[in-house]
Amino acid sequence: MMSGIRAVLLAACIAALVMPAPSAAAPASRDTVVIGVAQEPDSLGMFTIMAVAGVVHNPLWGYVAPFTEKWVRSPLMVEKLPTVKDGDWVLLPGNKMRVTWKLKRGFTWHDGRPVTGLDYVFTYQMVRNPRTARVSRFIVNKIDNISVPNPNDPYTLVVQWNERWPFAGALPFGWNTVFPRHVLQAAYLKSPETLDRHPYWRAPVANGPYRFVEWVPGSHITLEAYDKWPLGKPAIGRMVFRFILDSTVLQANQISGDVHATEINNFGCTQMEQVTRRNAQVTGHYREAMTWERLDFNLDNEWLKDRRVRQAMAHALDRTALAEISCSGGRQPVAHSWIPPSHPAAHPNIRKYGYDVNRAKALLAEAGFTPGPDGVLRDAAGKRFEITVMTTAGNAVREQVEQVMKEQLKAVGIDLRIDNRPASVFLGPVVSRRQYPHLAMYASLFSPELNEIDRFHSSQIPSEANSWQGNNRTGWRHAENDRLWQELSAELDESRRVALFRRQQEIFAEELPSLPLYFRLSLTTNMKAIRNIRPTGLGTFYIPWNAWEWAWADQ
Amino acid sequence: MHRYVGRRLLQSLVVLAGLSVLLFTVLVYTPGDPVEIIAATQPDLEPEDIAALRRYYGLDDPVQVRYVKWLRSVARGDLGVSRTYGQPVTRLMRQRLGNTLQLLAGAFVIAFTVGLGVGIYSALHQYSAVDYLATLVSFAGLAMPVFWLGILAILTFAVWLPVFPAGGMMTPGVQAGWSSLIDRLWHLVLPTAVLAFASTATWVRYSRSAMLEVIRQDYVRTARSKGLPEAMVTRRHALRNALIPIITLLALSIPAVLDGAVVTETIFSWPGMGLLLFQAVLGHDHAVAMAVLLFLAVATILANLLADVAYALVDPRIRYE
Amino acid sequence: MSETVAGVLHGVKVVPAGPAGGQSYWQVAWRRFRKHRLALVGGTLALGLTLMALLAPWIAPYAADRMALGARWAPPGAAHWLGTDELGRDVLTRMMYAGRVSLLVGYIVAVNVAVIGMLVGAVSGFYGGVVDGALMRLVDVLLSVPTLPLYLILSAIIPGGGVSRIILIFTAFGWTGVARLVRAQVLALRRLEFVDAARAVGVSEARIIIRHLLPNAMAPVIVAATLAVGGAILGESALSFLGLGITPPTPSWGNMLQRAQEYIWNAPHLAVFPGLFIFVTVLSFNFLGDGLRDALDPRLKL
Repeated sequence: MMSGIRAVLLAACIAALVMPAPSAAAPASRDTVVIGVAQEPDSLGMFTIMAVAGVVHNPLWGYVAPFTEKWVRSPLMVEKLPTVKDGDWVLLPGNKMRVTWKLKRGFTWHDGRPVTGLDYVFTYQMVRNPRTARVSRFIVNKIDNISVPNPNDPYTLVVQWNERWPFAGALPFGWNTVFPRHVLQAAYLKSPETLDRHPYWRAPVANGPYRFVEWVPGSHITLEAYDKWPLGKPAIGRMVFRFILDSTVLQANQISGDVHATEINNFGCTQMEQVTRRNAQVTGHYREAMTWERLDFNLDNEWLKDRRVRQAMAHALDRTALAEISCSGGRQPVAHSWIPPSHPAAHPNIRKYGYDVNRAKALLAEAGFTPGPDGVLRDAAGKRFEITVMTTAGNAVREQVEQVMKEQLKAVGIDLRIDNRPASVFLGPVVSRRQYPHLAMYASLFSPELNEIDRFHSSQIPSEANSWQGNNRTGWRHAENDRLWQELSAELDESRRVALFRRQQEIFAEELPSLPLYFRLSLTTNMKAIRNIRPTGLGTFYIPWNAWEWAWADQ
Repeated sequence: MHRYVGRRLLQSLVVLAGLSVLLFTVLVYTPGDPVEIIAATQPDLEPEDIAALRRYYGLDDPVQVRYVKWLRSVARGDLGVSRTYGQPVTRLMRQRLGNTLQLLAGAFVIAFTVGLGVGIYSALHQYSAVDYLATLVSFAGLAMPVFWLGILAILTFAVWLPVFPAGGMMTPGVQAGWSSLIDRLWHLVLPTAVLAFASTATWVRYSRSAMLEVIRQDYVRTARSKGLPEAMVTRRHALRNALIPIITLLALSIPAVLDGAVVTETIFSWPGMGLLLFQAVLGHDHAVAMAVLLFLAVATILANLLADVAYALVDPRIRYE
Repeated sequence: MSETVAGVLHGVKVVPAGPAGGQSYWQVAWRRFRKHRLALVGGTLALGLTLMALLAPWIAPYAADRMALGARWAPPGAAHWLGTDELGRDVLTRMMYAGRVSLLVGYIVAVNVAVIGMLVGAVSGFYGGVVDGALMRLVDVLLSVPTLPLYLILSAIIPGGGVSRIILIFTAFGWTGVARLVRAQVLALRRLEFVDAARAVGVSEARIIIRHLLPNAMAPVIVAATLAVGGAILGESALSFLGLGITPPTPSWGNMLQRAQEYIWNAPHLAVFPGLFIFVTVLSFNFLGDGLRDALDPRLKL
């Protein structure tokens, strides 16, 4: 008897020693997931300009067809994705098209009202209206009309396209989420111009697996599981998004376990390593992404106009070392094209420029450069080969890459100057108005549905005349490349598209209007105990994109 | 006296008006505007969208028109809407001001009491070991870069000895109530200590030299020679007179304290006015930047005025004509 | 801030510019300065740091930008006394070169501030009236805003991340303290007989200011300028730390710290040394300034 009591006491003592004492810092309960983010959204919904709003958007809204971690669309709020073969995507004369969508039943707004085709029509109209501020109308302008033809069947939607668009079967009108007509219509009709100031965007009634609870500015947003989510009520009861604007602090919070996951965290690979090393219960995802980090050449420059000079610089830079600075451990391979290797349209056998100082020197000599007395090259006119690279000031990785580039270019006789500006200035006038004299280093985020005519076609060179529209910031003009892009924008057949993309990449790699550096990894962390986290690495689908599938390991 | 205060208020208004014009112009001419930031993040905006956005933000109006518009709405009590937060600036300011005050209040109380205590003790025991030590430490405090101190504090108390959080205002997930209050105080410790350290040094130096100045004065010597007890001399004669310059310094120290708050809030990601301003300036959130800057200016000017009035009240020798 | 306080609160004592009691004013001052131990230490340190910065290309253990990507974040050791940074550069070498930048900013700002402050202060004090009113209102405006936010905005407007931007900004706002000091001094001196006498014999106003008034106001200016060196270094480092001052690749003690915060977990040494250098430098200039004040004008409250 005595020994029995003693054994129980002993067991209790051991348990007390082994089990961590509850502290003020412990998470409130296993029923909650806290996701740390390094930004605070400006608003939620359609008027935001911040990536972090997308992170909250993911669990809050239902998506028509999200991209999975395999970069393919999976229909969620629709029965299927229309295709030409199935006959629900019809090609009409005059390059017009008609696409019919069947919406799934059972999705409801968080106030209980059903989501119907009328919400789709309403959202389309809102976006289409030029009086609505701050939204892109690039795709909706290709659409003549969206309608629910049969009032008794509000789950069938017909979209009339006025031109060929390869992705007409991907989303009804280019938007993956819709907004509730019954909540917003009155305000919208009254004044589309001020719709973005409607309180809805800070406390939205949405239609996703989690519903909005509260937004404490400067601190956090709380969501809770929506019990009428048609795929079943999510296992995790609450989702809290914490704004921790400093990445060092965010890192400390993930190490301590005060946040259970991080996204938009501004971490570098070294910080990721520290997190996982200091807390074995945390896992870090180094996800391949479609974030293309490169150097744009300004092709109007007399030196950079010469293809040999661009190729020489490609050989002169040890891009493996540059990629290593950005993320050490060989995790981030050098890019040779603008399409990442795991994308179906990637071309594995295009021309690649290895690190080869002698080849670089030979190419420069061929281009008419001769060494000057100070070791820096001179062009035919005797001008010193001095060029400037610009990027976003304050970005540690880019600043380090620049400094290594400077050393490496020095070895072939090019004097590289560094002139960085705050992001708003650099990405604003400097890049979009082509005000950089020689080199600009920045990233572009692509979607798996590639449509980059604005970036590579010669009609898309920003200039005073076209009021600075278009994103062909290098000023690249190449006849065959232009033709390929025109074909691509109307080509609907996937295999023919891939062939066109491959040819385009061959030209790109030969001409080198930009020097690809690497595809930046998408870095996220989370407690291992949360199951079913599957990061996509894509711009609009952040870690909680499949939040309704998450669960704590012991749940 | 009334007339003096009135005149000073009027002068302050003029200064403020000039300042607002200056700041507004400077902000408007800062390269890169909000629409360019939006355009950079949404590359497929059409030209007419850009034009609409520029109209929406009123960016095409000349500076003076924009200034008058802004002034009018301020006169109506409307400070505008933050572009990045999508909230009225007044609401934003109220939240952030509260957070900053929490930080400043603690730091100020510590700095002022410790600083004054040590300073006066040092002065009364000039050339003692304590005096030397206090002088040395206060020199160190004045030369210490606040941000470095902050980093060292994080390094020591959050990395090597994880006692305090590395930043932020509260631990995520802590429920409201006692534990939340304690949690909040826990987060306040490091930033408050860092902010307090530098200003303590200032107060030690000022109070020491003010006190030294006073105890050399004739009336103190007279009081002492009359045989008054030392404690009474100190309290009645020396201390009261030493307080006069200190009151003025109180007001004049406000800008420096706010400077420290900007840096401290940035290091510890404390969501206060300093961080708000820093982000507003970087993000071209002009409405917010204007509001915070002018708020700081008003606070400083009022503090100056208050100091002069208080000065006149404690020091009967000062008259205002 | 301390400069302004002195100007506001305290009367100013006239410094005898001529010989006094067989010893010149400067001899007396030097004797007093020598007795101030902390000032001697400060002066020596300041001199040493300045020499270190000046001689960096000759005494630095490594070449200025030598990188070793294989040896990133090395902790302090025999090969690298202060370790290496995120590009495998020797921290001690970087520190020396950064010192050139930081000290250059300090010295130039101090000289600028002294010169502009003296001119404005002298003109304001000597002429009084509308000129004085306008200039002093300007000083009021500049003093009524916390400086850091203003610096933030200015550095966002003025392009480039070089030394000249920082110097411009700190000069533009740094002169107010000296101006107030000199104005007070000149106001006091103006009423003295020798000014009337000079005027009576037809000496020009400019000459009176330059030959007679300014020399008498030199002591506080020298002290203020010495303290301004430290102030500017501290300000530069704060701005660079926030990413708005001197930007890489130009090293400065402040921008070296900016990066350090990011690597605080794996390379804490990067966070320690640049701050230590700033601290020691500012401290030595403050000691030096303190000693100079005691030596040149013990009544001065700075």
